[in-house]
Amino acid sequence: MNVQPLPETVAASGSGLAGRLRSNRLVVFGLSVSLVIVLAGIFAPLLVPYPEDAGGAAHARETLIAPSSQHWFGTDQLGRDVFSRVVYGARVSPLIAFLVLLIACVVGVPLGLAAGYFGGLIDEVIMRITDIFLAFPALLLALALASVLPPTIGSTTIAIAVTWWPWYTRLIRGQAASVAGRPFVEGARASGVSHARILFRHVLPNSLTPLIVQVSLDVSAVILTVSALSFLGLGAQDPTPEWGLMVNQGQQFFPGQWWLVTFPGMAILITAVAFNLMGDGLRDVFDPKMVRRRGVLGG
Amino acid sequence: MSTQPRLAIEGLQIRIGGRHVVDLAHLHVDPGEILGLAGESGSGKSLTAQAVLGLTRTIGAAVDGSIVFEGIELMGLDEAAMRAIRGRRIAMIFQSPISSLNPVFRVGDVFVRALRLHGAPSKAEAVERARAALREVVLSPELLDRYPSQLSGGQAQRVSIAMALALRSEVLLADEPTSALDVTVQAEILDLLRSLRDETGMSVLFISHDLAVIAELCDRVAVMQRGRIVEEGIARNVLTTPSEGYTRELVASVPRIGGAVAG
Repeated sequence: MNVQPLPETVAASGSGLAGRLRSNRLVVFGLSVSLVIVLAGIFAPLLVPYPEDAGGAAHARETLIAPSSQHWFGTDQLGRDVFSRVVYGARVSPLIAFLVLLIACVVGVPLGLAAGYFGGLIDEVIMRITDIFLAFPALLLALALASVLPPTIGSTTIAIAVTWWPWYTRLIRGQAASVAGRPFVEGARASGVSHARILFRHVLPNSLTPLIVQVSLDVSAVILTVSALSFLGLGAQDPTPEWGLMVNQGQQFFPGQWWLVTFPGMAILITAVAFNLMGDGLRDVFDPKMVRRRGVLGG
Repeated sequence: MSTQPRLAIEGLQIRIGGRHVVDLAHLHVDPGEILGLAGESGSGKSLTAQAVLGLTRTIGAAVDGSIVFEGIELMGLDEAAMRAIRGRRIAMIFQSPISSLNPVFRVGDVFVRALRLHGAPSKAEAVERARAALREVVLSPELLDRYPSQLSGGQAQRVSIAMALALRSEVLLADEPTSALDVTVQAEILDLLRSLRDETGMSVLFISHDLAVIAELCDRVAVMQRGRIVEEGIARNVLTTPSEGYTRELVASVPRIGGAVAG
């Protein structure tokens, strides 16, 4: 009698997430473009007319040709097809971004969980170390690291990851500390659950939402950082088709041969904006208050 | 009592930041007994219950003394042995029943995990036991598919009690289990606790600031003030004819309908 199934409620909350996602056009746009970029990277060899140009090929008689039906984005100073290189570029920066964020999460999240949950001395030690890393401007620290490491994509990844994890430690620590004070954590302790299990099964899932949003917003920031490092000559090296590097190499030809800078530059811009919109959208989806406000404003 | 108490606390001292917050000379709960622990906020009732399960260390408290449960000294027991007792042999239920369940898991996930953790041989067996336990607390087994936010306060508290029941806990530490519930639901939970005690012989340490509830439910009552027990005895006697000044004040502070509030 006091038990009534609530199928409406369950159904409503189930379709609510998808519904909120669908209702927000910018998010759908960001999501689709991000997906296209990822797919372009995966299927690059099938999509581009001159796959060998993404590597070390050189065509001495076809240098610096303006965009045409044969070379949609023109060719560079070595005669390589810029379109092919830009599409192949979707394999480099987004992959580095993925690796950087993965490393940052693997390092940052457990530290933040431990700091927030245990508190006391553990918290102090972890957070002071985090503060030391955060005391340096991120790009400067990445630059310093990249300049002492050999200029490879792996070094770029490590250099950026080192500057990135402390943010996640801080973010998760705050969440974990608030979750640790909630009654169900004491309840779990009182029913004999171990600290490790509480951390990963109870505290982590309840702290994840802001992390998911932050990570998706950070994809574009990392891509910009990767490009910045390459642009400064500290990241990927020729012939890697990295967008920042292509902008760097193209700038000396800029006023005349505008296509060398413009197309990889656009690729950076579009990728950064797309992932950013996606992250923004996820934040709205997870934050009901934001959605309501949007609903009122948007009619 | 001629029988050995199920849970006996001797000389329990809890200090937080150098300040004595609990100084309990003696407290015991017999098998099948419901002991009320009364007192105002901050008198150390909840801390005492947490100390029994060894949960005070995480809040930076220093604990001394002796807590004997069925011949086992709980003080200084290592973490693994303590975990085997927590939830399984000594269960605890809390003031806010919904928020003491993790919101991201279905009730059944939590329930089955708890049973598996404490020795259910298989998942199917655990599910079967969980369903049976819910029926015993007069809830539909369908509740296992719900999230805690989809339960009412009374249902959630019954679920917590059902877990203790399914694990056949010998002691239930009930920390203000009804103060967040409305009066009719509160009466149902009290009835449930009483009938469980009668059927299973479970001992209950019932913490409450609500003297009327304690008078109705408990066999004996201990009144705490500033970490010490100031009066102890048969619940009805203590609360109808309190001999100690503080208890008199507590009893007098309960507002009565139709009568002048004594001060």
